[in-house]
Amino acid sequence: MNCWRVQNLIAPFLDDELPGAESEALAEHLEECPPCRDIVEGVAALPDFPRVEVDAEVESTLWSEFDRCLAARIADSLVEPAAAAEATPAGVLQGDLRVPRTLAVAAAAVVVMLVGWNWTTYERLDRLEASLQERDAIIVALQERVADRGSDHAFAFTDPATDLPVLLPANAPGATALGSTRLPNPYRPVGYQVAANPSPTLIR
Amino acid sequence: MGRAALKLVPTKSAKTISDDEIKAIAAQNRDRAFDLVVRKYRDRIYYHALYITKDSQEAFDVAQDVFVRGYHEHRLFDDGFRIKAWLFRVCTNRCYNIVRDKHRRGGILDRLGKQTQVLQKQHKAIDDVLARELSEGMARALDQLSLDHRTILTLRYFNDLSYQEIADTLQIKLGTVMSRLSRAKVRLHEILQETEEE
Repeated sequence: MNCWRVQNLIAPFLDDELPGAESEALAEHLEECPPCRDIVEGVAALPDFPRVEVDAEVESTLWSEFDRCLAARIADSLVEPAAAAEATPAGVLQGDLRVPRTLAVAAAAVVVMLVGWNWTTYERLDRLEASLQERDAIIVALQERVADRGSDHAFAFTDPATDLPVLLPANAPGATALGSTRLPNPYRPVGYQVAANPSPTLIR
Repeated sequence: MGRAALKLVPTKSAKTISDDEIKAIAAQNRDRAFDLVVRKYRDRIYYHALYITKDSQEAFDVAQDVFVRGYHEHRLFDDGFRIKAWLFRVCTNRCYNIVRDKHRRGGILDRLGKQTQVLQKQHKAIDDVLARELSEGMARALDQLSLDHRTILTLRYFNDLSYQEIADTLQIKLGTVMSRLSRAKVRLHEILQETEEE
């Protein structure tokens, strides 16, 4: 047994609460270790636990007041639950559907947020759809003009200045020839590809 | 609960009656059994709270809370329920909350104003005695210990709880009871030595 262990077992050792084997091991350690022996002797010599010596009359009054207060508090605690059940709490709806007002306000706030979020989302989708349709119309118009000019022009890339597809001569590098078919899906216009190394020639 | 309000009846044998005997009485008359529990433990619970909180008013309130909770504790008289350990556990936990909750100070002053003059006089008398004792010797050294050490020493050497009862009260292992109690006593010894050297 080491010194650390001994100092953790002093109380049960002195109170005779330690199992026999451990008590013997501790006693053996004390014979060999003067510092631990000094500590154990010092702890064993501690004075008795102090007790507050209160005047008997003060204590008697204290207990009679204690009993009186306790009886009143217990009586109150028996009444309180019944009174609480009878009292109508602030809330909305009635009967089994009654919910606390704070909960109702929180739920309403959540509903408003969800509606607002949905509304803004649909607004953005509508705008996106309108812009896609506008673009499709432009592409269709351009396709028609390409068809009018014959097969010597083709789409190549989007002009960054106008954000519109650019027509190139059909034999220009990177130019993609268009077929006569119209766009099958208005949301995914096909028919032109970005040229790898275009040399743009704007439509006049 | 359909029980009538408690009526505390003086009992001469409350100090010597065992918890098992109280449980047997509870089978016939729960209020009578609870009255015995209060009379058996009220002073020990109160003084335990007094040593931890060092405030008679606080200790009084804590002890009242403990027994109000005890009255509503359905398991109190069940077989195998450790009444003493339960009472001390509730008391210790309440005291810890009070000692650690410094914001409570304002509340105490409010409550003191509501106390009857008779009760205020008793609290002042007890606080005076406590302050006098804490100013010297062993009590002063105890006052310098940590809350955990002071609590475990109070449970063991003032309230005479067994090691197992302390373990149940503080909800710690038996080995922890042994080591904490030992460390508390060693620390107490050191404080007394330092005081003598001064």
